[in-house]
Amino acid sequence: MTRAGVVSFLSRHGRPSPVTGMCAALVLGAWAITALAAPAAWAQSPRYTVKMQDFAPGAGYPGTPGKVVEGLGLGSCLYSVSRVEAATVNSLANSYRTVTEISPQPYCVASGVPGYESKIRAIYHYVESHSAHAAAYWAGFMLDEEPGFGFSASKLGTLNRYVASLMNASPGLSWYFTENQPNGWGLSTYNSIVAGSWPAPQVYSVSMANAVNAECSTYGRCMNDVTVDGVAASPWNSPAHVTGLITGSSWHVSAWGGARLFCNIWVPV
Amino acid sequence: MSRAKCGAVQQAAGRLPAPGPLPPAAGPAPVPAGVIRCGPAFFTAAEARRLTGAFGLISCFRLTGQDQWILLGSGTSTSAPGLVGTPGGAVVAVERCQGGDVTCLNPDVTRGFSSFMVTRPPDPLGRPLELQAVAGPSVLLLSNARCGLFSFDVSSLRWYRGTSSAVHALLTRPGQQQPMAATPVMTGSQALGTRPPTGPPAACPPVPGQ
Repeated sequence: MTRAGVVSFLSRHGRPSPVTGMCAALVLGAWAITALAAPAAWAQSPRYTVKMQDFAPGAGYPGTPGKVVEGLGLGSCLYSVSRVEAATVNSLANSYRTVTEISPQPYCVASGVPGYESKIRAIYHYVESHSAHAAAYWAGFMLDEEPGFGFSASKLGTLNRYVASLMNASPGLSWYFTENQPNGWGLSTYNSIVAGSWPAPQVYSVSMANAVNAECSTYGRCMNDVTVDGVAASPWNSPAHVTGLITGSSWHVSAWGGARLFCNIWVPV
Repeated sequence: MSRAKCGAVQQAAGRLPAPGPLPPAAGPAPVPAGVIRCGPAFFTAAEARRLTGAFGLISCFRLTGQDQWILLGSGTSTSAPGLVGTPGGAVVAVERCQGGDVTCLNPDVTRGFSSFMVTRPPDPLGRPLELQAVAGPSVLLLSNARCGLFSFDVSSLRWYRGTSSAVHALLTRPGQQQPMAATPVMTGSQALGTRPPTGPPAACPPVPGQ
């Protein structure tokens, strides 16, 4: 996707606006500068300083500065919308920096993307109306959109455009991540899926690392909340090893403290 | 994107944070109290390479309080671009530590894959096989690519549907559910020398909404 394509992607209702374009350019510019500023061309710089990690709704919180509600597929799968809502609001009530992860899968929600739009909208409104901390501490959704989960790239693009438009109206920093398997799609397809989001690619192998770096060098999307598998075989369970393979910078936002640079740890919960 | 949202989410170009200190440790990621990760010497280096070559991305852990080591192979190559399959396909392998054998339960004790029992998912060629979650002491929730979502009972080595109601039934009434069709269980040694069966997987339900 070209930069113009990204600008278009970020717009609401498919109509690019000057403000949209300016913001997209700024964001892309920042990513590009980050990539160019990397002193060692083959490691995240700035590198991560803190981690976010998942937890199951109703279970104990991880000890990491970022908490990711592992909401899974909803619908007929684990967990229900109400449990995901409660887990998110409860985490925010503790002033925890919180992300709400959903894994869209057609075998969980028979109505497909429209069904997920409805469920995500419900969670969004519940969190915004039940947490005074959402604006400051809720980074929004993390959509786990893997090629093996059954939705086509075009359907995921539709869902992502919807989530972008939904989160655009939120009062604070809330936005959305896309967790994905970057080597599971062609490069341009991967770019079209993650465009406009905060990418949180799974890097569990050399193949995945290469795909993330190709995205950075080709499309300039170089800020990644790199996802590390906490139970992968050594050395792939090491955030230092994994992020050392990735160009660009770690994910960060000023609203969460600019010195807090994140990587994302997946563990079975 | 609104101007306010743009300001909230954009990174301040030209004011990137200075490179921070090194991460506190270069070791493995933290894991929750309920999970024990296989140590770096769990397999010899040669065996680990062999497993990766046969079964792809490897995850390995034990749930605290349980006596089974669980190894998952995604069935996808770790080095080839794209989702290239591996010769052995995707597997879930389980090693039981009989009688609470403390040596076996030690994540830093080296052992061979031959002591594992291996199962293949309902679609043995569906890749990647992805662990999504753990439910209770012995149920894994796994995505078997387009074949769908399944739960796997580590105790019985059987596959079941992956719906929340099926998981709940497994946890509350174990042994009373109808398992899904899957290939017979084999030893680790057999699995390393066997290619996954081809042909249409019988257990794959039609996928709505795709």
